[in-house]
Amino acid sequence: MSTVIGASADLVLFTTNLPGFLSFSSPHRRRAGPRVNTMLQCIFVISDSGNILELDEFLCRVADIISDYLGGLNEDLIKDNFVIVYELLDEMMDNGFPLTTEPNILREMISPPNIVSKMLSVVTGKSSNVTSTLPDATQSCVPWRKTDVKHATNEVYVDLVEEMDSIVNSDGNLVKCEIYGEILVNSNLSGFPDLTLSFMNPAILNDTCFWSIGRIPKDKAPSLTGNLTLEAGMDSLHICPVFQAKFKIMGVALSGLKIDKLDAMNMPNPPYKGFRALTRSGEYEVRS
Amino acid sequence: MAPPNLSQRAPSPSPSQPSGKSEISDLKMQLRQLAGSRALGTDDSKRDLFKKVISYMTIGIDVSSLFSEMVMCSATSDIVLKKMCYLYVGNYAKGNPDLALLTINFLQKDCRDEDPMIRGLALRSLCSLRVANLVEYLVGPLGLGLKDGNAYVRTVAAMGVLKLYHISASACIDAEFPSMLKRLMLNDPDPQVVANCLSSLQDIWSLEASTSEEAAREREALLSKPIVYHILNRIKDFNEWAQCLILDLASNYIPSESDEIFDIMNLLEDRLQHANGAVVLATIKVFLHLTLSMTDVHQQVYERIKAPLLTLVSAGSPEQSYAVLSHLHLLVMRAPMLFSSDYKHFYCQYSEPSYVKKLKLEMLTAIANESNTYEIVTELCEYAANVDVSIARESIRAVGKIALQQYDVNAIVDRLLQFLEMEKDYVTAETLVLVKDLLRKYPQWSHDCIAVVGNISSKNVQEPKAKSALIWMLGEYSQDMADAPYILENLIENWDDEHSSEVRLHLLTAVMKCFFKRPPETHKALGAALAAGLADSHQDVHDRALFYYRLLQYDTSTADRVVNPPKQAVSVFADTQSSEIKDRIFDEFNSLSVIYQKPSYMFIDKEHRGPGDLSEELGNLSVGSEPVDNTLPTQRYEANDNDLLLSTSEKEESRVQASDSSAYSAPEYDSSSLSLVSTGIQSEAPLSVPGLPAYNPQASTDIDDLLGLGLSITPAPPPLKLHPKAVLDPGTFQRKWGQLGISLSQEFSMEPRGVAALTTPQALLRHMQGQSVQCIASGGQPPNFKFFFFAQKADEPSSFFLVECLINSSSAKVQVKIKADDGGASDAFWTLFKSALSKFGLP
Repeated sequence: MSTVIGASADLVLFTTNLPGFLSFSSPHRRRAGPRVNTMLQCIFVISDSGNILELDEFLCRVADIISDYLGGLNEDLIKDNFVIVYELLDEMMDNGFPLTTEPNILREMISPPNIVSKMLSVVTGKSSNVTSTLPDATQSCVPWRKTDVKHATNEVYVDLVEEMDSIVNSDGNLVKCEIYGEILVNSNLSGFPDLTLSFMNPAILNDTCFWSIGRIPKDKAPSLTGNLTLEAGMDSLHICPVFQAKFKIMGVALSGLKIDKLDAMNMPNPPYKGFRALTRSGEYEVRS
Repeated sequence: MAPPNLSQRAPSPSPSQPSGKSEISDLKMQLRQLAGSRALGTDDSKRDLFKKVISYMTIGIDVSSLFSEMVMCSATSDIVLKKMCYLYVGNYAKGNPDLALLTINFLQKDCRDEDPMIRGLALRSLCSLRVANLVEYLVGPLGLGLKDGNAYVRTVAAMGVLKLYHISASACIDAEFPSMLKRLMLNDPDPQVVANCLSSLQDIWSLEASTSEEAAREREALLSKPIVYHILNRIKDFNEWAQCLILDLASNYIPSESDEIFDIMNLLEDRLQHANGAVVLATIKVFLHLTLSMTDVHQQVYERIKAPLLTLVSAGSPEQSYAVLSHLHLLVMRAPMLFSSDYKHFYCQYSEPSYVKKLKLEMLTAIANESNTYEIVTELCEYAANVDVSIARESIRAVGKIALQQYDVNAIVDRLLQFLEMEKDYVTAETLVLVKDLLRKYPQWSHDCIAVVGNISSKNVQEPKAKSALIWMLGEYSQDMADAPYILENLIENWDDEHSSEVRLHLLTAVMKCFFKRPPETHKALGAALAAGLADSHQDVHDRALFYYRLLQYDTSTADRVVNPPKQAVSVFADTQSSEIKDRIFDEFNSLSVIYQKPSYMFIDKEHRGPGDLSEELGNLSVGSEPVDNTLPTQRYEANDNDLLLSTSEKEESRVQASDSSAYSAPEYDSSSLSLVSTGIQSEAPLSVPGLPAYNPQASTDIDDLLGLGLSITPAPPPLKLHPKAVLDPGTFQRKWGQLGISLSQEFSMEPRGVAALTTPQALLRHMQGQSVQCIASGGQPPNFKFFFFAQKADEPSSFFLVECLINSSSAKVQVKIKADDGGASDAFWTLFKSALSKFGLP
């Protein structure tokens, strides 16, 4: 059984209890936190064999942006804010072709429904959530940044966040261990500076990926959890469960990757630079 | 902007939704009041009403009756109101073309607004109306839009041209929009405009190409060196989605020299590090396709793309992992050594969804080789105890598949036998099926396996496949298992409780085999089995029982030879997918074809298929026009798949059954006569059973014929003679091929030396010429060859045989389709052809 809760010419959002590929149950990417089973599915109808990863990436992006705007992604939220959802879908896709998916630019075209904008509308009497001018960034050559950013502070913070995926066997041996890292930059720099980040030991990197700079989600502090107590009278388990361990180590990048320096060019005043490293568990499994 | 049309659906009785007309007429009245009002705050109340209307529309209530009121209210400067209005209009205009005319005015006015955002939005809505008779109002604003000073409007206009083309192709072409788009594409400073122009042009030209030659030329021109280079050089300016589009264009580009290939690859190298997986995969496609003809570079490309692919698997969403894993699987089939040292990347994490796990298991199976088998099998054995039963089953199957691939199976067989001791129903069931397949390939293991299998109580095995496997082993190795006859006897006693016909068929065969090995202990069981089989309601079971009965009656030693022929170990289990199909899938890299594991023509309707798609298959044959049907029957592969489950002897039997079941009608038996079978059968003397209908020699010769036992009495047809110097021109061949139906279609395996000699198509041509079979067209590259042969009857010059012959030199499989003017002679021709082909490669 499925219910349509929103649609544009190319995209249908609906809830369903049918599992299926090319649809996802939660907007959260693996890196962003645990997956919540909301059973909201995003379906894309195509008439040819399609560019598979483009579809997948786009659907993920749509879900990310909508949940970013609405503070979640579920049927009720979409029904309450369907006008914004329509506006977003409209800007994100035209005639089956992805258009603008950069959150920064969309945010300038369509302001999100938050408390501040609600307050603003009460105070000023203006209640439109759409700016009447086109964002500059649509014309800028750097799609994620508008041309005239101004910040009161002159700071840049670099977080080196690593996640460790590993499987530990019942005999304590490490079956597999991998580390994935992301570098998150929170920049409060005005204008259009050029930043170069260099590492002390770049040779240890296996494969690099340039992540686009977006908003860093509010840190959901992970905590160490999990106690397993067997019921009284039970001396062993029938099945062998797999335990997932969670941990967080501040101040250390487990891979040993170290940041050498951050050069800022094109800046009138040298900014304050902050560095931080963090390691947390990704998929850390202990087999019993 | 158009939600699916659900207006027919009855509104649900939920209190939040309007149940009848009253709410809508209420809305209508309120909208009307607001339409003329210019009071302060009108926009706010309008907005509330619009929201209500749109929410009704979204949940599928038909609010089209408000059309004129909505249009009346649309005169506003508020952009959100405008957007909602556009949405409403876009949704209902198609159903109300007359009313849609009302909106043209305000949309056209908005197209001239000073704010580029409103101009863009209005133009987009105007193009989305999809009403054919409003096309005339569309052309003007579109033309202006393409020349607009603001890039946003031009972006919208470029896409609008494509929308117009879909509404009215002629209006679009007449207004010369395509040539305007082309100019924009080459000159516009804004990358998004360029990208939209490119995608519109691609669609328009490929749709036009079937009717107009000029369009076909234009389509080719999009892939010409200047255009591709022009766009590729700017690729970094484009956004990620446009980059995918451009990379797709580049993957279709055919460079004229190898320097170009390296230029393009150098240019695109850093795209492999893009954050968007779609860009990475599209780049990989370009690399792979560009280097197809350069084997060395192709291998280096594999090495280069390994790391980005593995990152994509681990770092993205599960859906992305799934898609990328499907691609890895495709690649590993082409370059098996590629990931053999990275096997740990494919270990399953507990929390992954099972569809990802399943693919990872397939990957582990595919990359297993001598160096990593031990680790992989150890890991797979961990999964056998997995909570998720389907994954546990898959992993056991994976272990079995690895065992069938490897030469060193010692350790694996031990593991499999340990599975049998785990005493979980599904584990036992899967393992039994695997042990059966293993024994077919490695008969030398029978001693170890049988010892363990013998300890399994058949009562614990319920699944038909597993039960069949167990019964097969009981029959096949009954001489080694002390109580095999008694277990079989037990099973036969419960014949009526056995619901699966597959199991009953196996039971019949097993008890026959057992009988010939240990007659005194089995004869009772055999009699009971035949009796039960003859009384069985399932046609196949009944027929097989009858067949065995008659076989025994005819001659027991013949029956022995039929049921227990000397068996050769199976060296290679048939591949279910032809390499031709695999190549097609590889051509469609980075599309759904890879996920579905079938080329797009198998799952896409004809009208959506790109033109020129069909001719590709035969493009590399030496004669241009090919008289071949392009759709490969999928059933054939499915049939192969089923065959895998049957042992070789059973395959023969089932074939006999299938072709023989109509040759005679089953006479009635009473069970009293059947009991005599068991008493008489101990002696080797011919059976004579009172009460049976007279023995019909004709029927038995039919059977003998089919079994190839050489006892045929039917007079042989006059030998077929072929004209040694047959002549047929390609045109006539093609015409004949089109007219004639297939009179014979066969598959067989070629002798190894024949395959070895088949290095080029020409070698076989010369050989066949010596056998009076001429070739008219040939082509293909190792391992796939395709030939079209013809031959002429020596005494009847007008009677031709036409042959399509597909040879796969790696699997040694030959598929032959014969068409003949004289259909009756095609069998004789087939014999000639086959013997000619099998002589190939003889010194």
